Amino acid sequence: MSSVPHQVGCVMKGSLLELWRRQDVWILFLLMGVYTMVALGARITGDGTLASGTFMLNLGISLAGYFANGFTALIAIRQFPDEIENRTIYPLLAKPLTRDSLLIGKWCACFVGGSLAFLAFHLIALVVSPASEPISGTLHLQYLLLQFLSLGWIAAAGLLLSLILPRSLGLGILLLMYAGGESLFQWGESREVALRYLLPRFGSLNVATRLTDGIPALKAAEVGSMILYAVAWALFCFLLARHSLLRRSL
Amino acid sequence: MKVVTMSALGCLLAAAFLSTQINPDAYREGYSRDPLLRAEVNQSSLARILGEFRTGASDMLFIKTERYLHSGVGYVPHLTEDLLTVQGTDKGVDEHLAEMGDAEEDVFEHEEEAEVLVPRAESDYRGWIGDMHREIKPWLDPSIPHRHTDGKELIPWFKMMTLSDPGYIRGYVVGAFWLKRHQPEAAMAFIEEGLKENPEAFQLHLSKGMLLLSEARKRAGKGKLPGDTPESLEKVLLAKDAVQLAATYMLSSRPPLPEQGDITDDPGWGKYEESDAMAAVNLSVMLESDFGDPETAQILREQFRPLMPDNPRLQ
Repeated sequence: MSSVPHQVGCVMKGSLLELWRRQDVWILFLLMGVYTMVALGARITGDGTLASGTFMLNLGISLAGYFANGFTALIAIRQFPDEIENRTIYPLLAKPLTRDSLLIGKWCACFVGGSLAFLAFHLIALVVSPASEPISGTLHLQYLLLQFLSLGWIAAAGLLLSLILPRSLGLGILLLMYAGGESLFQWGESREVALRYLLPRFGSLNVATRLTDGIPALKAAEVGSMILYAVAWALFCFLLARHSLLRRSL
Repeated sequence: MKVVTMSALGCLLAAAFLSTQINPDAYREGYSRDPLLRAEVNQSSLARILGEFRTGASDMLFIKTERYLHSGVGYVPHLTEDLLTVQGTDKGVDEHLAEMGDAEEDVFEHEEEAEVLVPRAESDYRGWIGDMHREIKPWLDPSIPHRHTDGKELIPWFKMMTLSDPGYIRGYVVGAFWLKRHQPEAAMAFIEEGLKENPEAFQLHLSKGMLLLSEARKRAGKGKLPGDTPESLEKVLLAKDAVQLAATYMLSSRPPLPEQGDITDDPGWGKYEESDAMAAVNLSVMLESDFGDPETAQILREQFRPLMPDNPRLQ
């Protein structure tokens, strides 16, 4: 029996290869291409002020974050259902491969795939955006770190939902949580609903507007809380996904 | 298995606790919250190309209110420094409604010639496509006085604007002054909601003071001054507290006076903010002098004079 890291590496490589063969990421690149054309048009014609450049930068990096998180949710939600439907999970587990290795490998593949897509989209947004108001470099790094954590969390949540719900329902719920979790929390806060603290607040990790607003970096305690928050949620989802996978009869 | 379940529960509880500590949007300034920079963005061709695909939903909703005010006709957004102040907003809404004449009418005609987003036929290069655009969309020739609605339809947009961005101070201020004309209690509740989200926003405290003063004027009745009756005086005293809080919070957010030039040269402090700051200081001193302790009023004058050496009311 090979070592766990080797097993995880093999699963991850296989899943990444599968991602590469699918068309989803290219569709998102095409959408980023539309943004690129508008932004480059503004750069070439020299149209706009620093304020409109800042608006474009905000739009670009926000789109990069939304696309990457959406993409990660999409790939995470179909990892296990696809393997089960195609019956490819049986030879994998008979290799022998432990279910833990399979889960970690799938999570790593979703996280790495999502992160690479995010980096590419983010880089496009930074390169093509017109000149903007100055932004904090430290906050930029904090933003990137928090987005990577958000991708790790959404990957774990996607795997969990794919194991307990039908694929499309799971994807719908995950995207709703991603897009509306923070708004729902704000709504609960205005009505002082205590359960609001149990809502998944993906939006609280998105500091893109704070970044393009020229606000200084988050304090160590603030960013530390946000990191721990994302890690706690990702671990929660991951542990439940593991529990569900181990109990599942295949 | 029990260990895993307990660990997962521990993680959820930890996340719930950490959720109480996280609020990355708790900041007041910022390029996207500066009304002048917003106006600049709205007028750029980029914003027009991208139309309503805007990152700030509140910004998009603010533009929507302009459409509703003009019965759906799209005019180029117009914002002046004066209109951005709390007093200017109040006055603007007042002037707007004063021209209505018949209270039963829900629209009135505004004489000013405004620039429309869809151009006139003679300056539209699109030919028949332009003609069709003018036919199928609400459109008025800019030479014809344009029509304003009474603002009732605008109110839900302000609510949605502040729901999408609870830090959007201007949404609360403008929304409250429109609400004041229809439902004064709801206007005050709206400002209180804004204060709960942004307790240090001095413009909101100033707006609260002005709403209370307006209520005091109403309670005093015709021919009497605010504070002449006990019911009116009660509101005036509450207004005094609100504007004094406004002046206090203004002091903590106003940048220090520059050695050369004007304070409004500071990129983080516009002319409209300085006008609001002056209104907070003047009202605070005036109300203290007329309805509080004249000695305290003198102390306030001396406290604010070094910050606003040219303000005649502090001399």
